Amino acid sequence: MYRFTSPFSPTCATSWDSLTAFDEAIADFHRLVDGVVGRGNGPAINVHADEQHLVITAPVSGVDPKSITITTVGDTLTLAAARTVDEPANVTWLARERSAWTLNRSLQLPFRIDPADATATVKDGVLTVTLKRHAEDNPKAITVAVN
Amino acid sequence: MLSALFSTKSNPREVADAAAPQATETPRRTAVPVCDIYEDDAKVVVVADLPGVDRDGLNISLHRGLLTIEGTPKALESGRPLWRESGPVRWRRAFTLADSLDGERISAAIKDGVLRLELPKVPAAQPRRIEISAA
Repeated sequence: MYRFTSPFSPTCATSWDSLTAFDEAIADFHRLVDGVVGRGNGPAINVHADEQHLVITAPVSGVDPKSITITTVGDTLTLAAARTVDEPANVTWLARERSAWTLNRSLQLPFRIDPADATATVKDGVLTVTLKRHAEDNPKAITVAVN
Repeated sequence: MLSALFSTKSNPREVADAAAPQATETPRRTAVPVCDIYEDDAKVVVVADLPGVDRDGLNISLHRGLLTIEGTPKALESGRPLWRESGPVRWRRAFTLADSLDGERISAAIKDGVLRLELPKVPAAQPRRIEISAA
């Protein structure tokens, strides 16, 4: 089965044995492009919803909450943040895996929200943005008049 | 079919229609946290990103020279998933300590999802200045 183990993997089997393998390769390519063009090295974003709320979470460990800006225009929400990594002086580095990143992403929301009723918190390095559905966007029952 | 599963749509509204109404939470996957490690004359410092982990969810152990960091983030998400770029994880990473480090005096602190471990070096491993006596 054809499979990328990593975008730059030198070990690519070349047995294109079925259309499924081709499909999978295309999906891998899309994910690779997403990683490069979309998210970059920024954090992964998850969106959950119930009838009344929309909750957006993103890991932001080590990010100064003051550097996070959240804006809404219409049904679009934009998240912007930047992470810097401490650089202590006069030390010998043994491993450097934590990277600085900037986040600037827009999400199209599934329903109209009330900007006045939105909250955002950072706890234990996780940003949680809670948005409430706009009152005018709620379903309303219309009673049928009986003559 | 597979390309439908790995849709590249970045619009929650479109994905919401495709999402199952009662999506079950996937089991936690074990992931390796990224770490910065540096040393000076007196200590080695390990800084690890553990987003979502507080003091209660963190477990650090040292057994036969193997230092293990385990962190379970608190579940903050509820409701129906509309858009997921990361699943629930459990963080785990282990390091083999060199003899030059003092396992008895390791200190750990976690703040805003960033763990900082300080591993002091044993006195014998620290550089010592040797005074030269005048002839």
